[in-house]
Amino acid sequence: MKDHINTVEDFLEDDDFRKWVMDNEPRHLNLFWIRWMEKYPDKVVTLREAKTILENLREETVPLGDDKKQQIRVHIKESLKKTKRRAQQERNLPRDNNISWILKIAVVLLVTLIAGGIYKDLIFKKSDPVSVAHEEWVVRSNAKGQKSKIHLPDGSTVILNADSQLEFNKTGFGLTHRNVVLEGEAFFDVAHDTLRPFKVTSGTLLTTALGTSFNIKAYRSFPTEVYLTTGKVEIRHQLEQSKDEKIFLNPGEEALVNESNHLVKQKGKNIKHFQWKEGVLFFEKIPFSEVVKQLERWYGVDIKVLGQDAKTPLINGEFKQETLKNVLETMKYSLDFSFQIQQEHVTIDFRT
Amino acid sequence: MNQKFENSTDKELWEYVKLNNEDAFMFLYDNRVDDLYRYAQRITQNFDLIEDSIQEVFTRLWENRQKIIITESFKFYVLRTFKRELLLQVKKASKITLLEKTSCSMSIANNSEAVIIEDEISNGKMDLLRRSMEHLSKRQREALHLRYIDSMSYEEVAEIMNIQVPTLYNMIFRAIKILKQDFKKYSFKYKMVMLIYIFDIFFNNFC
Repeated sequence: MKDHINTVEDFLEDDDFRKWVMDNEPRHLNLFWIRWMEKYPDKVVTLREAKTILENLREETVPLGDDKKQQIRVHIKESLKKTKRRAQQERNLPRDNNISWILKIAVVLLVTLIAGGIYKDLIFKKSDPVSVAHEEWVVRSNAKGQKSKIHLPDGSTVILNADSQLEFNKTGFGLTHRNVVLEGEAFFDVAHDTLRPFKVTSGTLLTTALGTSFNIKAYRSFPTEVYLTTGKVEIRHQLEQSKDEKIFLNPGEEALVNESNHLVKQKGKNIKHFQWKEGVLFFEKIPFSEVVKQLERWYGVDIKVLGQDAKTPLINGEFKQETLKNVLETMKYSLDFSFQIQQEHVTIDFRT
Repeated sequence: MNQKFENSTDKELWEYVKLNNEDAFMFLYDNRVDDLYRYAQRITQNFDLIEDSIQEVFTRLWENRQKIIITESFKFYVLRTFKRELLLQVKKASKITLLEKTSCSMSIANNSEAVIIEDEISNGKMDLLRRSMEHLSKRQREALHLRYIDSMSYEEVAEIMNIQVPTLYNMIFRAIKILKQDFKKYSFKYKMVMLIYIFDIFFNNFC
């Protein structure tokens, strides 16, 4: 009955003892250790010391919450899918450079037809078939509530918004290509290089720039928008069967894909929309449901709305580096709701 | 589905993974990610970086699944790989400056102090003892964590920490010695707090 245990070290080295403490004293082990303490009352102090050491050691670190665990799980599953797609690409696209263009286009079309939404992989392979063999993909992703600044090897900078991801092939970046893939929103400040155009793939849009700054918003389930601040960019809407649409943007203009799936150009929105990178949260005539989505993304929280009135008006608002509490306090009075913030969980209640 | 995996050894699980079984792979993730997350905090407190590295390591494990040989313990393999990745990311992070991280004042109301003291005493530990961990070096804490929280063998810990086994024995021995001394130092204070606590109960019950 573990009679050999005498010192703190002996306890710590004992697998069953550690299990008992770590698994929060499971019943089958509890019985054993209670009996053990009864048998050796003089060793109880030592046992408590060893137990305290283990508990303190563990409590110095924070456990991974279930939500986070699930979130990372989803990310991993996504990248598993991506590697699978990439592997398929490599099989489908011949590496032979001498292959005729017609054949190449045919292959491209075939792949497009087979695998619908894998535009972004195509662009990389099409413009740079040599690098297929050695690729080193860099993925930068921000969770909700987090923004980051990324310095690319060519001197360009990208400010990546919350809940967004930027991906690029590090091999030859800035030398043979300047291609990146964006999901979510980012502001690009592109270093000037006329020989190597900077290309951003976001959804079905391909934005090409030489040396400019522009904002791209491409969250899933929203139409992709490109807003140009300085310089000039070309935007290509990649459609099946080479019916590509192409437009050029001037500063202050924006491009987006409309409801009928056509690329259109319009006068840019209020500049404040693009000040997210300076910490300005800006709403202009948007429905409450959209405000909720933006707040979730901005502050990294889950928001539950109870009893929302369908007649809630469109919302305008501007908040510069405000806490979620202050933002909700401000809206509370005009929209008449109550709210509760419990760590990452927020409840908004219209019923009261 | 998962019951099949639960009775499998790491070696068998990895054979499934090699056959492109994503469920087996995610089963390994589910089982190991908590350990990685806690251990990572011995190296950095940048939680975003920790999460990125976890994602990165598992993605790479999957990509290289055919080349990886798991002889006995997947845990050891993944901890070692993860540590390498994390150190690399920590280095790299200096190049990527995080912009303002939106801070929200979302603290929960503090429990009354009395509740905390009660809880700690009933658990047989106190703040003072917890603080004694601070007398240990970062490496000492890492060694204790790997050996006693993750239950890795001395040989495995030594390899992960890139030191000789005798050095590791020494490191752990000295760390425990420091902790034991602290217990002696604080046992007097501990008794005092107990006394105050008992007095407090007495006081509350009769007034």
